Amino acid sequence: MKPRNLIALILVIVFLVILLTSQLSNQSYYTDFKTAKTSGDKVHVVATWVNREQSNYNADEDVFTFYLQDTLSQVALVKYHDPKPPSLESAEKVVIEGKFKGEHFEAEHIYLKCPSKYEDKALAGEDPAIHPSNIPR
Amino acid sequence: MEISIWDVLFSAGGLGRAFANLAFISAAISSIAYFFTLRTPAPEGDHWKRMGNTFFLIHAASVLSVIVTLFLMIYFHRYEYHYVWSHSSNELPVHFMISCFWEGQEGSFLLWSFWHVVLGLVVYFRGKFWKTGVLAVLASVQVMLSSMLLGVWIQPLGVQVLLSILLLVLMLALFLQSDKAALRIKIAGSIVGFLALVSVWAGYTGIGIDFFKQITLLITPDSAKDTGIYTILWSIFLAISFYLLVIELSNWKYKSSIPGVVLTILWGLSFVLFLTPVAGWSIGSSPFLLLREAMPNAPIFSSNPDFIPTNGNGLNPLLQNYWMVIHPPTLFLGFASTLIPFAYLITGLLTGKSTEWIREATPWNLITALVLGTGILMGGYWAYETLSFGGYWNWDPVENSSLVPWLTCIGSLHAFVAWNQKKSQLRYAYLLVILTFLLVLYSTFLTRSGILGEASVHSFTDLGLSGQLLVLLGVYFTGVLLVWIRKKDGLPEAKSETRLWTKEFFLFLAATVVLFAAIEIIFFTSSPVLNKIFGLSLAPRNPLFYYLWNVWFSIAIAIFSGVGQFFFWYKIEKQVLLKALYRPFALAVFSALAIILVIMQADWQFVYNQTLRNELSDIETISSKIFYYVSFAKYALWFLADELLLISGLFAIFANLDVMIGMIRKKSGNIKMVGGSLAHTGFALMLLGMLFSSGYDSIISVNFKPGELGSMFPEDSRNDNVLLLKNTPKYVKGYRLTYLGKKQAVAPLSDYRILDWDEFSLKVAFEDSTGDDYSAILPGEVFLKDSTSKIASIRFDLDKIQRFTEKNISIIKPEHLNSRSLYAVRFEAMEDSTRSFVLYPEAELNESMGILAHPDRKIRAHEDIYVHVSSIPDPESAKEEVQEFTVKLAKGDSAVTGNALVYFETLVQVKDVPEFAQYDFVAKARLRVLKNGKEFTAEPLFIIEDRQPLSLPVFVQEAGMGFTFAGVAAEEGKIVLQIEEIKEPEDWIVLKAISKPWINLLWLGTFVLVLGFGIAAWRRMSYPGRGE
Repeated sequence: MKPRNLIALILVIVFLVILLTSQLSNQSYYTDFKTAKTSGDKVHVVATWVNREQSNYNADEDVFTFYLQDTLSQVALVKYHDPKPPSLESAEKVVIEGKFKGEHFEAEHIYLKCPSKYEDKALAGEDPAIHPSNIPR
Repeated sequence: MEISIWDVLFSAGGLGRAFANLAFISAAISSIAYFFTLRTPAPEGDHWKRMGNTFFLIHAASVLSVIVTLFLMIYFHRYEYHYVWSHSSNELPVHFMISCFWEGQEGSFLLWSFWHVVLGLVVYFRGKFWKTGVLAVLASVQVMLSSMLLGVWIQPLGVQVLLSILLLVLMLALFLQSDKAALRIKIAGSIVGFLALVSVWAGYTGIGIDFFKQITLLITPDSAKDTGIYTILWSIFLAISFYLLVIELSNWKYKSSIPGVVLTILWGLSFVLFLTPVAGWSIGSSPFLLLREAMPNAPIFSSNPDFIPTNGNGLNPLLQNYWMVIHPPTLFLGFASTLIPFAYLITGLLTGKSTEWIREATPWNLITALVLGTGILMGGYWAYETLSFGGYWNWDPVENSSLVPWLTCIGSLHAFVAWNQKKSQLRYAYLLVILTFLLVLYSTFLTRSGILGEASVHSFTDLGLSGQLLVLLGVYFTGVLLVWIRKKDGLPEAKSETRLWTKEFFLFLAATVVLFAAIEIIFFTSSPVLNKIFGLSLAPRNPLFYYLWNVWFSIAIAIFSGVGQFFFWYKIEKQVLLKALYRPFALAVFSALAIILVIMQADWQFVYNQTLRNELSDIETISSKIFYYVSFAKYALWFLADELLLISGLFAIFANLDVMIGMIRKKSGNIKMVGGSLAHTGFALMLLGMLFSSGYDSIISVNFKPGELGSMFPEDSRNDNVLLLKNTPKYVKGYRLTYLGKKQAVAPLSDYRILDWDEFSLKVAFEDSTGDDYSAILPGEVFLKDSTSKIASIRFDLDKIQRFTEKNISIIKPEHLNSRSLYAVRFEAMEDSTRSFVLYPEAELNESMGILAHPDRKIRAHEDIYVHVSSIPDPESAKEEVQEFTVKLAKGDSAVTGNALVYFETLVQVKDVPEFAQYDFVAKARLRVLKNGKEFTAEPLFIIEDRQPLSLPVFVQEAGMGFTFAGVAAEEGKIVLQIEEIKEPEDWIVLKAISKPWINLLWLGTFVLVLGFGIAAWRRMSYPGRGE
């Protein structure tokens, strides 16, 4: 193999190695509140909004404070430095990115998973509709 | 429910389904016939070609018919159909009816198919040698796409399958035994017709369904039988038309029985498809499903099986934007056109023209790059203009997966040039074209299979198509691999190795950099797929992560595009390189230095402050010091990348302009040559626009009240939203902001439409004199001559509405159409008091999504001021209340009520007024009222009649206040006033305002890039020898 090709090959390998290591290391991952608290890592948590009446946006300090319950039913106080995301009410799932700071979770980003139109509550207050693709086979 | 035959024949859904089925079958027949044409040389293959042609035209016609049918269903509000009900509503104007057409997955598949058909027709009518192969590949993709719209459930053991097998056996026997084509086709046709009749009978009497029920014990919805009839009758219609067609083409001569068998299987399959049982394996998702078929368990249908909603769910308000009318078609045209170079490639391999295809595909590939790039940027512009994410690019998986095929397409363009000019990089061209097409399929899989789940804000949910999408991807991946393995030996060997510092070397570099960028982006975007395969829990990456990767790719692209152009157009040796490049390089460095001194010097201060200044003095241990040095280096590297991108971007612009000017001088008159350097200039402009607008945007709405300033960089240090009370100015960075209130409708009003009504009120939409749309709820009886009549016969008097709304403008809730409100905010620049402007960010209340905000912008040459409402008062609290106050005032006293100041000026006795002559005593209190910066006067009367005190209150409409002169406290020398004040609903907004510098460079760059592609494509169209 010619040295030039070898250099090219090495460059490609280095690129792929960086790609892989960077994918696997220092990567935020999905977890629950308890693990997030003990590890102190920056994480993603999939959760639902609870204790809605205790949520509060302080416009002077620009902080939205609310409670989320993760999939293991652990509840955490979450602070978010922006007003309440507009469609939080209708979100069936909330994914937050951030880390614990003391007793509360500092959310950098909030991602909302809104119900799809296909699963929309059918025809004004009726039971959720069943799409044909959900019919048990 | 009884269904007459006429209902069936004129049912839009049945028609649409029939066309969808026909599209599927005809694409399959056309593709197979074309492939046989490739295998069988003319003239023997001519009948295959004729067949391919006929069925391709049938396919094109049926795809167009499906689209027309679905659009007419939307246009005529046929809410008994699920797709129409889900995506449209009565309120939508026609252009949004078009965009709701592709809101759902089925519609967007249709759009994609549509473009394939259009491009296919161009090849059909203009193509010569390449036509057959290209259309063979194109039609095969159409088979896959059409299958997504079938929406059929195949029973594993159903009667229909048995009938079809019988049909197959019979036809097979006929084909194998007889040798008179016309005869056996006639026999086959008769059998098809007979079996169709049997199927009708089976479907009608429900035998098939009962049989199936007994086997699987599946619960079958009641509507199944109706559906069966719809499709079965259509299958008869189709059987007859097929039969006639077959007679028409009965001069076919089958060379061997294999193609005959294949076609027979397809025919058989077509009849399995036309019978639509209700459960089993589903193929595709039909947009022609009735609501009651889609939601058989909805309670409304058990009480009223004939229920048809009067209005639909409507189009997602975020998509009600003109960019959404034009962005999806453009993007899908881009996606569709990646198929054409790929089809040329496959044709080239199959026909042994393994290098000639590149010349043919070059203009197509340029058009692909142009259209796909435009489509992607339009999406970004839509996001920037409509969503309040604050940006045009969010590194969302859906965005990424459309960007990546574009990048590989750009790469393939460079490999094409290397082949066309230097007979080099042939295999690279193959790889990149194949990758582009496969990546389009892969991105379709990512966005439509539901695998992205919570990783993306706007992925489609799974419609049960993920299996089919995987098959689509798998078929083309293995197909290409097989063709490549079998045919790769036919490729010419590279004559010599690519030398360094040559044209082709830079073309190779360019293709490689974009390929690596594409690999990087798709690799990180695929983390949900990796999670699924390897059971990991990787979270999606944030925009900063992608930025830090791609800024380096961008720097490389900018440098190579500058240097490469010189190598491309001039014969430059390594030694004279610097001499040639010094001019653009010096220009770039000097202008970059100026910019760095003005704009970017703050970066370095920031880095120093964040990491070193405070820490080094306090910290003793070496390890801590090292830690801070490392973090300094990390931030420094970030900012260094910005500066390198600035220099290299400027260098790319100057270098390409240099080349372009030289070219125009030298080859005066031939403007066609500048395409390449123009496109590169455009791309460099885009890079600079992105660098400034995203990297150097700054928050205007800084809240000067100290928030929680943490030590963490950079997320915690922000406090980016300000609370604005109505008419109360607030100072933020560089501006004085005043929230002026919601925008009101302005008379005269026109273009009334009734949206909704009941006995007491009427919701009308109208336009005000400035052309804005509003809707308002008005009392019904004012207009309704007959309140018991049905909606179709409501008659109302336009003049009455006009007068009513003009008089009572204040009672109109200034709701924008679809409950949108505009919030007026005045910006007054502090350094220049003459510069002031009003922006109208929008927010709307949506039943299912809460409050949705849309931004507004002030576009200036060097920056956009981008604002959006982040919070508004809860509409529940916005109800009016009346407050009452009782005050005692002496002359000259004043009192503060809710929001007003009331000043008691004087007391006047009213004499000599004839109306009051009957009373013993009449006095009026002269009051001056100050409210919301305006002054009003009020004069309530106090009357004594027959020794009884009376009060005559006054109401000041404009101030929303009422005054009653209730009595006199004589011993204190004061009067007693009762004041009623309508408490205004809370009116405030929380606003975010961002300055985005030089974002216009991005849009300008886009135009230049597109122009460059256009010129380049125009030039390549007229290559000698194309199309032979």
